Amino acid sequence: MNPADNQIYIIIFSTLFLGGLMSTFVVAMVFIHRQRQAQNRQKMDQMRAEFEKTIRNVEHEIHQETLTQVGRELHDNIGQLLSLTKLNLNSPKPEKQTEGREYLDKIIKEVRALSKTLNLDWLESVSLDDFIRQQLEKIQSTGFCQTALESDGSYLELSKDQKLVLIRVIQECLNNAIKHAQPDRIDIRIAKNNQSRRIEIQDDGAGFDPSKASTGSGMFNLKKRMETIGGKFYLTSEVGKGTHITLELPF
Amino acid sequence: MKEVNLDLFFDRLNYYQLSLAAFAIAGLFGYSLLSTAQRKNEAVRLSLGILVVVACYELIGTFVGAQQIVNNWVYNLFNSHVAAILFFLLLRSFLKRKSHKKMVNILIVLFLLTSLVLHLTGFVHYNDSGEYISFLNTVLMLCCCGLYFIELITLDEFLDVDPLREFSFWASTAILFYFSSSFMIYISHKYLYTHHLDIYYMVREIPTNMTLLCNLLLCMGIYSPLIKDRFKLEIIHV
Repeated sequence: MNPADNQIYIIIFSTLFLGGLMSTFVVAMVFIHRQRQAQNRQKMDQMRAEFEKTIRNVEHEIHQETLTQVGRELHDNIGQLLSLTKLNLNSPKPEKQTEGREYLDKIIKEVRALSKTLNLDWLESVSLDDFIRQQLEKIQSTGFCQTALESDGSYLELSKDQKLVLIRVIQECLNNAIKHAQPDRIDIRIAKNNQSRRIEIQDDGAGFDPSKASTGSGMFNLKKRMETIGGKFYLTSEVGKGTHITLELPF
Repeated sequence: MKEVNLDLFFDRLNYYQLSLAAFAIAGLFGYSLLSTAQRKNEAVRLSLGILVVVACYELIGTFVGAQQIVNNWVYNLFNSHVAAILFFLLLRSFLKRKSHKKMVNILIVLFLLTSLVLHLTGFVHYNDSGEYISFLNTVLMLCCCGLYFIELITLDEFLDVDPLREFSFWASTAILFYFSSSFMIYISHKYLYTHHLDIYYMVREIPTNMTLLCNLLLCMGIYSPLIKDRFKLEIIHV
């Protein structure tokens, strides 16, 4: 084989080699892309399952919370009213009997209101602002601490799932404040900026060290729940200086 | 004054030049039927630009050759520079990341500057067989194709699309194949033409047919939005 023939073979083989290399490259790219798509689908399915699980848990917890509240209401409010009614109706005085009948009307109203809360459908009719207002009023009515709500109405439009999660997270934050912080004041501020809307929960209670492991898991759960609805959870606290929680949700 | 030899020009016209001219006319016709919004699509505009430029320079090259004048400058200017830049821009239009788009801009400037320096220093001549410029633009073109494929396998925007139905994928693949398969032929152009004319004519078929395939695909890219509108059928997504 003379050198000229060699060069021809080199040219032909190099061309074929480059063509083959490029074909392999393109096929490999499509293969990797397909694999990535499959992985992404799997990840999305996993995320969807996790989201559904979170929503189910949240619904269950809200049910439990509602039942506890109903129990408390039956014992502290309706039970008391029924005792008063019994006393009044047993009295021979006509004015006491009238008062007893008035108590009966009040009991009927209270029971109706209470029965509504047993069904989670009430969540659809109530706005987040109204829910927070009710919760704060309840806290204040017990004389536990002063509360205030300041809202620009930026959370009035929410999907049912987002509302459920936010309600649960806010309930949890308020419960934690009452249980552990003994604050004199709880302030909730709802506002928005160009990219997101924020709920800020501020108390002037005992505060804590967020780096401690005992408090970490609760925060982690709240953070994860916010993430399932595409939101963020921030917490800052210091012993003796209260706690500041921010719940952020993009538009 | 030398007389224009049209007979030889027409004699030299073969399926290749005629097909390219047909693609360019079909592309222009298809483009005229597109809506204003569809015409604004960068990929469609550049595809049409490539079809027209390639058809024009092949006809000019054949015409100049038919006048017994060395026509290498036509290919050096239009094929290695104008068409190459249009291909760079087409690949840039497929990229999503701004940094990658910037990289392509840098590669274009780098290519033009290198070419200018090589010409000004006399290292290459405008009428030579253009091995160095072809080598340079092929290497840079392969880098641009690489950028597209990197985006394809890393960006989340591509996760929802089927690459086999994407114009950008097929165009990038066609460009990749065209430049990589023509690479060895362009850089060995002078050697083959001087020493092995028979083999030169044989291997020249590779870039010729790749150009036809590439232009056919670009033409389809122009017609794809039309077919989608008229027949509710999307062959490839532009």
